[in-house]
Amino acid sequence: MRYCIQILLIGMLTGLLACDSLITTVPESKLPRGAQKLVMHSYITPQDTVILVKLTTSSPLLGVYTNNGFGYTIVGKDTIFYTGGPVDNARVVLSDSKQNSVVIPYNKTDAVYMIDARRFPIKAGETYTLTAEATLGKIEANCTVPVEVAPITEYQIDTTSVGQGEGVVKTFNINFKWQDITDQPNYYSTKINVLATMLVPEARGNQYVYNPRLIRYNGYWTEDVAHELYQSDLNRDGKTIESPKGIVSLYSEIVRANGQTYPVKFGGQKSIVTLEVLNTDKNYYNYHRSVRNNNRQDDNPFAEPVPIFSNVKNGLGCFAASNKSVLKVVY
Amino acid sequence: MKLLYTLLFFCVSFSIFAQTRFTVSGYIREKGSQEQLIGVNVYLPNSSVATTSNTYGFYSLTLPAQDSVTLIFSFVGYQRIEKRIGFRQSTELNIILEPANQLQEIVVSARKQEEKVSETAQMSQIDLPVQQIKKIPAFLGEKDVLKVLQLMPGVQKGSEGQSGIYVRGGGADQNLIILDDAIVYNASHLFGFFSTFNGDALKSVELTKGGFPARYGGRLSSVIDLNMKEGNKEKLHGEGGIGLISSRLTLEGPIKKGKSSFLISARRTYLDVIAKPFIASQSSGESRDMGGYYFYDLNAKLNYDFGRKDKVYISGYFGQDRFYAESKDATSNNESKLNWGNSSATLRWNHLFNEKLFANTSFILSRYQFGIGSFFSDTQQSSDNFTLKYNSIINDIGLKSDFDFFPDHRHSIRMGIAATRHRFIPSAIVLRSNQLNLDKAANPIDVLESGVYGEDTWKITDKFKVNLGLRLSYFLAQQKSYFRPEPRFSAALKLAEDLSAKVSYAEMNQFVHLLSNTGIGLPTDLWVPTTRKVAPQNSRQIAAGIAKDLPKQNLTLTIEGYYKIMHNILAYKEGSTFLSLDGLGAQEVSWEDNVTAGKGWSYGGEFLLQRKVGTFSGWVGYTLSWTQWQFPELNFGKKYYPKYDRRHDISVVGIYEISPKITLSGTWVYGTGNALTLPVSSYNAYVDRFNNSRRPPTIVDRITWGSQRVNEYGDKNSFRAEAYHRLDLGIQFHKKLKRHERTWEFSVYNAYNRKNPFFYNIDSEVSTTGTTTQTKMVLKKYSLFPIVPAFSYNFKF
Repeated sequence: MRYCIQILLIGMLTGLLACDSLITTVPESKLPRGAQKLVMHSYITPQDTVILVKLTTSSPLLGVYTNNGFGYTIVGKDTIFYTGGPVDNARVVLSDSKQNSVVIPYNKTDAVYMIDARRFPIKAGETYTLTAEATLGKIEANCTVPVEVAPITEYQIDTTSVGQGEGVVKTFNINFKWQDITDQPNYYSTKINVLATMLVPEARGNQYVYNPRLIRYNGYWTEDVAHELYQSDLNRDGKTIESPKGIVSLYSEIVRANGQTYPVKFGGQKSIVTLEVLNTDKNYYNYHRSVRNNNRQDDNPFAEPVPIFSNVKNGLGCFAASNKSVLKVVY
Repeated sequence: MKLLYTLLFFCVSFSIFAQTRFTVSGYIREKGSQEQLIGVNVYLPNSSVATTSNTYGFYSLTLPAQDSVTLIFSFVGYQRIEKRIGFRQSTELNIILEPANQLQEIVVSARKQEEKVSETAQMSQIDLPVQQIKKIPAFLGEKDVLKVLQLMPGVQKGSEGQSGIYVRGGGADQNLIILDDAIVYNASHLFGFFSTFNGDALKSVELTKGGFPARYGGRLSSVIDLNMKEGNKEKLHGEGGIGLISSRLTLEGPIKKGKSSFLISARRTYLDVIAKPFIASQSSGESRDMGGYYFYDLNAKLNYDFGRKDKVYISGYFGQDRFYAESKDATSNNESKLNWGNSSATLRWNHLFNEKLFANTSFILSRYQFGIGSFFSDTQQSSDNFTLKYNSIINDIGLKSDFDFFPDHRHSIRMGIAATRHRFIPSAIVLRSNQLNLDKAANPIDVLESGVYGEDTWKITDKFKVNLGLRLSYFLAQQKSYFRPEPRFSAALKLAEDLSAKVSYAEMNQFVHLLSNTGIGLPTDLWVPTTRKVAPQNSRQIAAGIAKDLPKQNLTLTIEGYYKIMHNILAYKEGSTFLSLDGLGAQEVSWEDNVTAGKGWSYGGEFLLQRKVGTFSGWVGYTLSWTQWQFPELNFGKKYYPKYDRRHDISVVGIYEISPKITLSGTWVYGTGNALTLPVSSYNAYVDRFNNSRRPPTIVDRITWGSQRVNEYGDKNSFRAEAYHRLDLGIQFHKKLKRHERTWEFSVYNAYNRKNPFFYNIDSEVSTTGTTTQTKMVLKKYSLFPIVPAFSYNFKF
């Protein structure tokens, strides 16, 4: 009894020293099952000239990857091998509600399934089904093209030029408004591009000659307004909706087919500014919003994980439709 | 207020017209300290006539006139007193109870121990014996009231070591924690590892999980009512302890003997003081690094007895957590600060209108403040200077009056009115740098929360007792008002001697919300009010059960089932955080846009077998429960299990007094693992291309399509963490010395060194064989506390 307290004290100190690591690897049998899935992305509108389908695969997060380009994961007693990258051997079929269908062939150069829209015109109000069948299985998704479009009622464009001499970069700041389509839930997105006359250097003998060419520059939105790129008319049915302020910069460099960059100069003529309002379906909105949210929270360990929306049965990704109003402005 | 007096008038006139009755009333105190005793049983032998003393030790019993009556006063741990008095007039009878066991130091017992659970109409209520808290082994020897509450069925802990409380599927912010009538907003220290309550200063702790009496309102899930001791009115007493991370001291004694007394209790951690020399020795030359962390608590109470009719109490609580880091070298100075704390003050006035009507009026001030500061200055390049200050404050001023009215022995009526003005300053940001100057002035939101209530504990027959109540809650914010009636009901039917069946219904509304996206008790969690956009949270709960006393074995058994539905509960939207300084416009996103409202369901069963007294005491608790949430904007509108949904929860607590000198204690807990969201795979997410028509072929003829790597999570919270279980053991050696009594305590937290999960993370293990580099992605479980021994020295005089 007398030494009881002392013995306990010493015992506790040795106990503290005997501690081992507090980090343990969870055994494979207790891991969440992550199987490899087909991932399909396609966005259709009646206005586009081409129908594109991107088909890739997901890779289970837990598993083994080697620098030789293959990986495997152990699920139960099975070892599953997989490779990443695009899927090139699938049968991709787009069909409408009236039993019309088209097989979309694979284009190796661009690593997408691609077809000219004139061969299978996309119609407003029609419901489409997209299927893809590959070694990993068959996936399917459908979407309906919104009937109406929302015309642009007002726009604002201003330009700034930064830099000097040859390196001057002309930038368009663009925003616009449209009237919400009444008595229905709507989801909107916007796009902008500028078709500008640029002076492109071309070799003529030992010399470079600047030739004017039309080049399309696509717009972008800065991080602080990009989440407004996908809007819903919730609580503002029939009201005026405004796009976030987008930017189109006429960069002084352009990429050629061979991957090389060439310096270009602004040609000084008027440009054609294209403003588009996409009246999208809900799939489009849900998917893009979730990708945006995922983008905003990265590296924040305290933020809630963002699940990415998918409407692809047995797979991942998004098949969505929109119907757009287009306004071209010479500026 | 008018309504209240009208009701009061009716009650008084009702009793006048009845047959001739007289009243016996008075205060019940403890011998020696004069501490008022809460919940003493007062009854007539061989009859069902009984009452109990209220929070201020007052009792009142009205009976038909007779020659004499015999009254019995009994309270566990105290000698029973039997008094025979003439009953031809109303009588004042003050009682002094003497502790039964004179060998032990005088300890104020918890309330209502003697009151049998089968006798009360109230259900889903737990009284925590304060002296048991001191005997249960605790992490690092720091006794913690809230962590002992977590050992009760229906009450769950969050993550390892956290003092947050989750009651019947509710959130950690849905508990009304009141200390001497003042609301405590953030009841935790050190990121939730310790609670703010110092057990030495507490007289009683009571937790209500359902069947809420109408006198409580404002939170959905539970009420934790804590009362501080008043202070010994006869002589000076002290109590304290020296532990591994903190020390504490409580002093109490008379100011004017028998009339007024004081109590002051303080606690401070000293990790920073111990670490200081080690940090200083690492710094060299001109550079200097400093840093540390501490918290302190201060409880103080003063009271004055103006006689039978009036008593005044002033109590205060001050607690702060401070974290600081500073690094300095020849050219720059970098400082970071983080601090948060509660302070509250309560002025209470007891007034006895007559022998049947007791009133208490409280004036309450409460403040919660959280601040972050970061400063950087460069003596050579002043353009690098940077200042960030963030503040969140809640200031409350409240007034409340409660009336206890005892018209006859069958009715016990309580009525009251309360109003609180909350001033929220949710996020004041000051940011200064050469790129950006932001001074978002704190835009205070003033809101009014008020309530009127009435409740009657009515003994309809000797076998059937009900508590009927109604609370009218009113909330006003930004010119938008919410009026919510909240019916409350509980009933007990005596099925046999010591066995009763109980049922209850309660509706609750919550007007202030805590936004937390961490799940652990970080001070960055933000308290916000109900506004024009954000509606109050609401819950409705029914519960039914049985209560059985086994007086021979000193055991009580309760079995309860409950079903609760919650509306407008709040959660952060996916991907949002409270303070986003990325992107220049991010601050403009107000918290209202970051939250989303949903629905919740919780149901389950609870079993509790408890023995509060004897050489071997403790309890066994088991909870089987389900909680589900559904938010239109989360998880694509699908139902899911929230993080702390827990299917099984077991706790076993035992305290064994081997001899007056040695106390052995142990606890064992088991809980189903938390529901978590883990990524299962990753893939490229392609967004719509901004160039849907082909580019001019001569310049670029490749289709560019942007994507980003994202994770597939499967269903939200579909991964279950490993189950949590842990054994704690403790032994105390008590010894009476000449002037004081000392206790050595040794305890072991997590005695069998179970590696309980704290969080999971995906990690990579890289190995190289020849030219092949292999990366293995594995899931790692991070545990927080291994076996942790602790000892402390405590004393009392």
